[in-house]
Amino acid sequence: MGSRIVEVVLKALVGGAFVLAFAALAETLSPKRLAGVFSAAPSVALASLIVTAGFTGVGDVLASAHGMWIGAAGFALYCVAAVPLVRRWGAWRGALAALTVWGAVAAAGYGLAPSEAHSHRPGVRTPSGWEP
Amino acid sequence: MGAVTASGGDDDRVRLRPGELRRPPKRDWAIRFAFGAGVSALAAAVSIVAGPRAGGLFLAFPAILLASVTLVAKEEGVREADDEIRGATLGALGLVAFAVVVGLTAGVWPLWASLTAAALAWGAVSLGLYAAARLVRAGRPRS
Repeated sequence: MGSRIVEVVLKALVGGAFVLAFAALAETLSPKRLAGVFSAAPSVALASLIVTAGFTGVGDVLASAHGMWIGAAGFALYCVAAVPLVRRWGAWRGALAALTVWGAVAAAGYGLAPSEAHSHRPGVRTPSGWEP
Repeated sequence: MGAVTASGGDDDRVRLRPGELRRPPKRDWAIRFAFGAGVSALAAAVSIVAGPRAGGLFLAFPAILLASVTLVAKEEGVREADDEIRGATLGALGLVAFAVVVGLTAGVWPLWASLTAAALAWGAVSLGLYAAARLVRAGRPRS
């Protein structure tokens, strides 16, 4: 249980740091559309997958990546929905309302996409596959 | 301010301005860190409770964009926020490529190589699409 808490805290700290790094890069870039590309950078994913590999192994990294396929498709559709909603309702309410699109895609994709037997792939080493 | 300029155009030039880092108040950086830490913790908690595949969904949760768009709209206007979201659409398509590359290579390649390839795939897809969109817009007649 203790190691689980350490894992969550470590992911939070490393994830926050990666998000700040990409946000700093975006802040220095113009035009805004190019900076926006970095608002969808894999900052949380990189941080979480590195820590996951250290704690639970590559099998969980693979399973996380399969979930991320669905989440990323939802993210793209979120953006498509957010543009008209932000214009209509303003930034906070529009961007918040568009989250329902992400939620719908994530729920449908998670329910419909086949769960792959990631841990049975030849060559996958557990519990730790991190090779510095 | 010593901006580094990458291409031509009147007000749509690609610029790198390190001096802009001093502009946002510290509170904005704290908000971004909090959103990043919060989403990472949420993904970790969901992984523990419902499994890594469910947690993986939240590795592409748009909370950071939500924070960024709100801050940009407050400080620079809704039009700029609109542009930020349009750019993020390209970044999100890059995230799909990132996840696919990790899914195909993790466990086969060393993890550092898999994540490096995935990050490069994200950059190639999202920045490639951005460059293609600029070319298309540059080719359109101005009204």
